[in-house]
Amino acid sequence: MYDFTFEITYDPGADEYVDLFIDRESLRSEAIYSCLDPTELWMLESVTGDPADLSAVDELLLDESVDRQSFSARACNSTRTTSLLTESQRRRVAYTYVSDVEYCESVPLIAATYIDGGVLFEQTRTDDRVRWRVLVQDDSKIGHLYDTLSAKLGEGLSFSFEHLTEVDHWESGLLSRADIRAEQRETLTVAVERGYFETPREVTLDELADELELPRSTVSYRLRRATAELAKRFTEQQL
Amino acid sequence: MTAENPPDDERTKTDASAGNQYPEDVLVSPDWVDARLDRFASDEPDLRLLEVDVNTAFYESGHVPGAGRVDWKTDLRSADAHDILAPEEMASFLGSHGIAEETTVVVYGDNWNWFAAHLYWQLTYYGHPDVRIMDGGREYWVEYDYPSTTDPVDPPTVEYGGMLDPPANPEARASREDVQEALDTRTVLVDVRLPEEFRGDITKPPGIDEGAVRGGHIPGATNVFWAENLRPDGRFKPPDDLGAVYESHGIDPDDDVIVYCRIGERSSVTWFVLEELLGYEHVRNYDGSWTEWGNMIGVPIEVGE
Repeated sequence: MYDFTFEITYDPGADEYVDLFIDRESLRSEAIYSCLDPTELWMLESVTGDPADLSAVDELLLDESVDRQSFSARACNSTRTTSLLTESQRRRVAYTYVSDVEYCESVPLIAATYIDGGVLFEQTRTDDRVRWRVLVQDDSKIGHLYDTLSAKLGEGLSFSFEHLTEVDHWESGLLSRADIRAEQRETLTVAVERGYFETPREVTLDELADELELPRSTVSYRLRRATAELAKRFTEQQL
Repeated sequence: MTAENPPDDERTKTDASAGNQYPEDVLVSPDWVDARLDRFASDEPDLRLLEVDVNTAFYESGHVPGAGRVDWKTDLRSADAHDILAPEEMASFLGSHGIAEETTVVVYGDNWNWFAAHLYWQLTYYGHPDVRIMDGGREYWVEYDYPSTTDPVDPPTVEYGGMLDPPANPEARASREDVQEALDTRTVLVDVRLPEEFRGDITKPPGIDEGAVRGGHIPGATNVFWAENLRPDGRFKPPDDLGAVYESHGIDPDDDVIVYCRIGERSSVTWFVLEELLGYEHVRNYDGSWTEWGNMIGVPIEVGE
């Protein structure tokens, strides 16, 4: 299996849905797509973030006239239905089914014109970036896909190829990422990078606080909240 | 994506393709082709249609009725010489598709006519009198529900009697020597690849075997991505918009221009735009392109913006 990963960066104003993520840094979206032929696709999108930011997402996420699929200057000519599957304080999960596609410049539908038998797609949105991971059994059509995708980008979008590699390990949690607060995630990320969770610890709380330019008590609180939340979610997933 | 187009229900097939503002002797609309399907399918060799896809698997899934299949990997390259077709190979290729010297040849294909434009360029170089591109290519035809078929197309073979040797328009093609001579002169080099190919971040697109050992571009080249020639639906931009693309890069109609890409096919689209649609006076396609330049020993390159 091959992993073709690339990123599309959006200028502000280029896409109303991406604008939400540019304006609200707590927001993060992860989605999986399935598409077996170029006439229909379904997607499951999980958006996490602060409650106030999430309420701004609700309107666009559930508005079936909002085109979250096309990345070209041409809107999809298709039928779209969306339903909300999860609505919690810090998370939404929406299911969208796109059918009767005459044309639709979305990554999965374009891939389906080149690759028979189905492809797995994972998409992550944060800030102005949409990262795509395309998993295919063989890579013989990836060159065509690259050429086509990069050529169809709308105004204000730029394409950046990341890698094409044979998959030999798996780190993705797909939709299982825990929905902790953005500031907790940032603190946790720095703590892990600096070796706070190594044995013995490679960095002290005071050093982390200095680096983050935060009071020690704040860093301590965020780490405890983050680890508590992750532990609870982890346990829930095992049930 | 925030759409700039009118709502789809306001677009009709006829509206969408009526706007061909370019001479019909180089670019025809899908409607023009649609109105002549019986003649393309006729045994008489006055009109012939050829589909040339980058992804050669597309043809089998359906093509314009009467369109012959061209495989660019085997039909448009001379394998032993590692070159475009030799004159006698071109004559034999044309004859096998029922094309005589008086035939009007219409070409189209996927990826907005990449290889259709390449075939157009080869035919112009050799001097076939009448060749045209179908605007929008394969995608437009499929997306706007024009008729398609999987019926095989096998027109009667003819003897191509046209004179192809020497090529009638050698000025359409640039060799590596031409490019070397153009370095540090007023000749404008236009690199039509993606910015990340131009900068040298990658040496070739992912999943492609044919590339160069070095990444970057020919010194002094200007990067104008080939897709800037097109509208979102795949047809060429209207004349004013298309002219503005090149004016904004300071490239003028009387400049001496050499275009290139990775293997000379995307640059055929830009060559067609400049030479045939915008009427630039001196435009050459360097078909050796980056696979030749980036692999050559001792020639200078630039990396970065």
